[in-house]
Amino acid sequence: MNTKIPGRRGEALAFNYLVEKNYKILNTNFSCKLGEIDIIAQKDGYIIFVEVKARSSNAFGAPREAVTYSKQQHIKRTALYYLQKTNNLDKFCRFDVIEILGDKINHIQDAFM
Amino acid sequence: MLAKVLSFGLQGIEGYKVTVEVDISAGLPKFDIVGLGDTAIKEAKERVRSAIRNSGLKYPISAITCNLAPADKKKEGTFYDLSIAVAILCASSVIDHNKVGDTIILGELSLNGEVKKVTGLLPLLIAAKEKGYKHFIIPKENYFEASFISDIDVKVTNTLEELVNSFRDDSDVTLEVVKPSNYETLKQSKPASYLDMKNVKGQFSAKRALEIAAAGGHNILMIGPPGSGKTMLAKCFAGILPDMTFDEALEVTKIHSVAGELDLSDGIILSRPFRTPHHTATSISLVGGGSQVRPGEISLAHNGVLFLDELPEYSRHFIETMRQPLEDGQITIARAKQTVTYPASFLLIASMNPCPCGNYGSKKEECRCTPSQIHNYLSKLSGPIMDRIDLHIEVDSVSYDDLHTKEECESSQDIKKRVDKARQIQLKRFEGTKVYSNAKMDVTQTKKYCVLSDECQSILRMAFDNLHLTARAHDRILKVARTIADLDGEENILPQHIAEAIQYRSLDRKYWLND
Repeated sequence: MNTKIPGRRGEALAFNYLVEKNYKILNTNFSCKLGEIDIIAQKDGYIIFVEVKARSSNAFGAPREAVTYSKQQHIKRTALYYLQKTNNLDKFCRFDVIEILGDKINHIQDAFM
Repeated sequence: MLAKVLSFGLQGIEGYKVTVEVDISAGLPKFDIVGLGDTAIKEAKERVRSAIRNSGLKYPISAITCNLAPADKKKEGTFYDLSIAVAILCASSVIDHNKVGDTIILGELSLNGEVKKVTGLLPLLIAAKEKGYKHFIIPKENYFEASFISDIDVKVTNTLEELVNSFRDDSDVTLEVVKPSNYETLKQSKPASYLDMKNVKGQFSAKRALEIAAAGGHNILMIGPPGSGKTMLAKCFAGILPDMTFDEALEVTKIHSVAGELDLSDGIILSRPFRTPHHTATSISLVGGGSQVRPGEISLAHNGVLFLDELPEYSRHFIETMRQPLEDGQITIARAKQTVTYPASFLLIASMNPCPCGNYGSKKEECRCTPSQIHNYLSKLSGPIMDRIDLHIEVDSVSYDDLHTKEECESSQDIKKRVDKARQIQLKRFEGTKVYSNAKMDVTQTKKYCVLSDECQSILRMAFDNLHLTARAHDRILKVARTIADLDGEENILPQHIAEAIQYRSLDRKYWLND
C-alpha cells in the first residue's frame, strides 16, 4: 500500500492550516541525508520545525504516537543542519507536531525538545 | 539571559554553598544540568519543567543550561529542584533577579508545582548560618526543623506559584515566616514512656552498674545465663538516661535528618536515641556506607545508646569495625567517590551468655559445654574490644524469693534523678567544650579532673599489676571512678570510688584469662 498519498494530503492540510494562522512558511519537505522535515515555518521570532502525521483512523494508535524518539532525533539533527546552512543558529527554535486524524487537525506546540 | 540562585549541598553532615547558574540562550531547545549531579538531579529537569508549566507560568522554549557550582563536587539529592526552577524563572525575567538576592532556596518539586519536604535540611541551615547567610526559603513540611535555629530569617512555601507571586510587585502574597520553637517546652509537652526499672526484681549490682553507665556515658557489658534479665535491664536503661541538652539534640537531629529518619512534626529529636540493630544486619548498615554514603546504626545512636543483644552473634567484622568509633566518637567512611565523617559517640550496652549453653559460671545450673566450645564462643570478642568496655558485670539468675518479693524496687524516675544530678556536674565541668560526659574526656582532661590521692594511687597500682591492665584500661578506670565520685557528689575521687571502678574491670580476667 502506498502511504505517501495520504501523507502528502496531510502535509497540504497542515500547510494551509499554518498559513491561515499567520505562520510564515520557510521551507517544505526540507531533506538532507540526516532526515527530512515536513514544514519549516516562522512566527513570533521562533523558527518552528513541524512534523506532520496523518492517519485515517486511531486503529494503530494516535498519529502523534508515531513520532518516536528516534524520529525526534532525526528531526533534531536535520534541524541543526538547516540552521547551520541558513546561518540561523542564533535564533530561538521550537519543534511542533501536527497530527491529522481524518480531517481533524491537532497542533501540538513545543511537542518535544 | 543568565541568572544565579544560591542553594546548599551536603557532604556527610557538613554543608557547602552551591550556586545554581542558569543560562538561557537561542538555539535548539534543550535543558542540560551539569555539575556532577546524581540521577535524582538529572531527573530534576522533568520535575522542574512540569512544575513550572503546571503552576501557570511560561517555561522558556530555548536552550537552557544549568550549572551547579562548584562543578567538581558530586552532588546528590532533590533539594536543588526549587532553586533550579527559580533560576530559570529569573533568567526568563518572570522573577526579578535582584529580589532573590542571596536568599538560599531549598526544596523538592512535584509535577504539579507543590514544594515537597527535603532530607538533611537542619545540617544545611546550620552550615549556611555559619557561613553568614541569613535568608532562606524552604518547604512548609520542614517548618519545625528550621524553627530551632536562631538568628536567621526562614520563610516557608507550599507551592512554586506561591513563591513566585511573593517575588512579584503586583501581588500581595507573602510567605509565612518561621517562628522559633522552644526545645525545653516541646520536650515537656511530649514525655516519652519507657519500661520502668522497678519491674526488674533483684539484680541490684547490675542496676548500680547501669546507673554509673548512664551517669557517665560508659560502655557496659552484661554477662549471664539466659533468662536472667539482661535484655529487660537494657530496655529499662532508656528510662534512666539523663536528658539531652539542646546542643546534643541538634547533633543527633543533624544525623537523623540526613538519614531521613526525622519526625517532621517535631523537627528535632527529643530523647536520646536507643538503637537495637539485629545481629543479622550487614556491617554497612551498622557502621554506615553505601554508594551514597549514609550514616549507619552507630551514627544514628550518636549521643544515645547502641544496644547489641547477644554480642558474640554479631559478625566479627562488625565488632572489630566498632573499635575506632568506640575510641574516637566518630567514624570516617572512605569510598572512591567521597570520604565522609559521621559522629558516632554512643554508649554501648552489650549482653551475652558466657558460653553456648549459657550456664558457664552460673551458681544454679551446670554448664554442658566443652572447654574448647567456651573458648571459641568467648574468643569472638577480642581483647581490644573488651578493653574499650568500661563496665563488665555478671547478671546471675534471680531466685523465686526475689521475684515474689513484696519490697518495692526503686523506680526509674528516682534513679534518673541521681543520674541527672551527676550529669549536671559533668556538664558544668566541661562547659564550653564538645565533651558532655566523663567517658568522652580526652587525655589532658582525664589528667586534670581525675586526680588521685596517695591511697587511691596504691590501690590502682595493685590492680594494675595484678590484673595486667592496659594503659587504656587504666584511663577508663579513672573515668569510671570520676563518675562514681560525681554520683556521690564528691569533688575528689576517694578510695571507695576507685575500688568500685576496678571491680567492674575484673570480669574479663575471670572468663577470658582462665584458659
